Amino acid sequence: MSLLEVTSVTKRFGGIVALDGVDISIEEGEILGLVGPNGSGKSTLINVLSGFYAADGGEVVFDGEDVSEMQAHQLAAVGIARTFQIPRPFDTMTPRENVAVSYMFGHSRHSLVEARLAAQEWLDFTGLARVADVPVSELTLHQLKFLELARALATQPKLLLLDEVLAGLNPSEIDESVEMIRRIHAQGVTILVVEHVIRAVMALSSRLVVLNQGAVISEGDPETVMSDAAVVTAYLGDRGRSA
Amino acid sequence: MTSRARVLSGFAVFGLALFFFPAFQEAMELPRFYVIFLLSIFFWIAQASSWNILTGFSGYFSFGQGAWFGIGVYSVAVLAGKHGWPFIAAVPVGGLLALVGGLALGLVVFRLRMLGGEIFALTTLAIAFVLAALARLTSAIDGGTGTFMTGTPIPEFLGEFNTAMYRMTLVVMLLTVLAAYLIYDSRLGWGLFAIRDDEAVAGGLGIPAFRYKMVALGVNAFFAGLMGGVWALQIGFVTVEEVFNIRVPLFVILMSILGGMRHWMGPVVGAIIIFTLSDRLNSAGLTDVNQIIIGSLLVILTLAVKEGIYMRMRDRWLTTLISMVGVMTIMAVFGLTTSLITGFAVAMVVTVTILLVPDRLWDRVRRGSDGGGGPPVEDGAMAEAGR
Repeated sequence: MSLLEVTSVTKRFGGIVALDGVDISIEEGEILGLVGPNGSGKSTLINVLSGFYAADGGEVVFDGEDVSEMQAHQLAAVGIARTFQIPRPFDTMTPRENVAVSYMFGHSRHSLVEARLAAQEWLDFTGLARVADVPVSELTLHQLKFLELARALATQPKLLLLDEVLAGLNPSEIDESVEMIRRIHAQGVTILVVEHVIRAVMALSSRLVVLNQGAVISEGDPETVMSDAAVVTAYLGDRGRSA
Repeated sequence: MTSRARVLSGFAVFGLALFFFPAFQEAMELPRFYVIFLLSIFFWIAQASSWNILTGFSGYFSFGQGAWFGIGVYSVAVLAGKHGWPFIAAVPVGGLLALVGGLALGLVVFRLRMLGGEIFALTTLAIAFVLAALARLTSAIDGGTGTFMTGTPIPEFLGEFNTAMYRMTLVVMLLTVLAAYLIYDSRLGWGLFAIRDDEAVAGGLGIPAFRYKMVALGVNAFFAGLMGGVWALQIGFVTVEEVFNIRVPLFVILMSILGGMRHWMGPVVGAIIIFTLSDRLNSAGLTDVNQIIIGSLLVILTLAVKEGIYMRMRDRWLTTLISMVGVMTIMAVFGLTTSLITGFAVAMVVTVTILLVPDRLWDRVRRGSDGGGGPPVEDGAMAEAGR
């Protein structure tokens, strides 16, 4: 049985159909890459899966449990965590406090005292220990993205939804981040990566799903999917096929 | 000793010392006014602290303090003043009815997801107006005539009127500040801080935002109502105009912002500064300029110390201590004032002025002279980490 089973999920914004009956399944232990042109519904799907938007239809089953109606904080408790493309740290807190809050509430409940100690583990893991106690306003974009990861990991998720972690980073930072995602995966976390940087997503994913205009147009192993005619058309238009 | 044990023993020591102050005042033949001055400060500390539990911690700006306060006052005015309930029994009812009012508002406003913080602020403002109109129109509550509280006896074991008022306001104040501290130093508090910083993200990390906001609003309303109930006696003649005016909601906002909203001690410090200052200005016959001065002070302080004056005091606690004690000693030695309160007020103004020196300039001055200053900034940071 899959860890996450998404069945004909639909999301509309006024007259625009952002997700049009999407079916996706994520197997336990895999890294699933989710790609597609701008506006194809990738971020909307992450927002639905993490409870930020309520779906207008369809069903989401996580770990054998129907979670379609759950709110964000309940989804965190069953073990789904996410990061944001544009980092959204708690900006009156230090990185350590950001991670501690997340540990306190996430997948299981912990006290303030436990959380202060446990935060160190995730700060070390993401290499943020050195800046753990400075104001978050002093962190670079790269560090903020890692703080997003640390905070999501501190909830001790089974499934991690990564929304364009690599966007805005330089090539060496991208390599570092890809390495980090591999290490997270090695800890036994199932990962959904939404990414624009195709090179990275090809390197990371064991399987790829392509969204276009709110629907899945292709899925399978990365090499095959990226040469799929429908995918090339979605990205480059009709002329791309003959080119 | 853990930091919590330290703070709790601080509460016990302060509480006991303050509890026996009226006896001390009589023995030393200090002016009776000191007791009344202190009980008024207790009132404002409780109001500001309870307001800050909701607005300072969760970020939902409330203009509704007057409503919760008013529910408390009128519960006691009706039950004890009109129906002859024992005062001591009516006061908790005031707190509970305010709690019910708060939760009812929360159920409506926090449930509707599309309503943001602005709508919440406006709704809380409207609640007080609605309650005022309700009280004015309903003869069972007020009916526009007002209620005399002078016939309501206070329990004898509490002492004569001023001492009894002093003890009751002290207890409610201590409970309120204790609640603020315990929330601040708990998962609930950190959940609220996270909600204030980014509610959507907080939810995504597992924080039950709706429940936490309800708790914060409930606690706020409860303590505001409880203190309102006690205060009904202090008012003496309860009228709609006296209870539901802008004074309570406005002052708790000023006090908390000035003191600092991110820490439980902020509203306490803010209430002491603003009440003392405004009391001294009034007694100096400067009632007219009082609000101008308080207003200007707020503008200067919010621009100069965004995090609130309490954070500066903590970072430069030695400076604060030396300045307060120093100025008061100088004034006493040179006979500049016979009033302890005036001395305190002047010392406070001097201290706050010194604390206004920006951090960067402050560090340079300290490095240059190497004398008399507070501890290095790291001290404050460590205190924070050890909290």
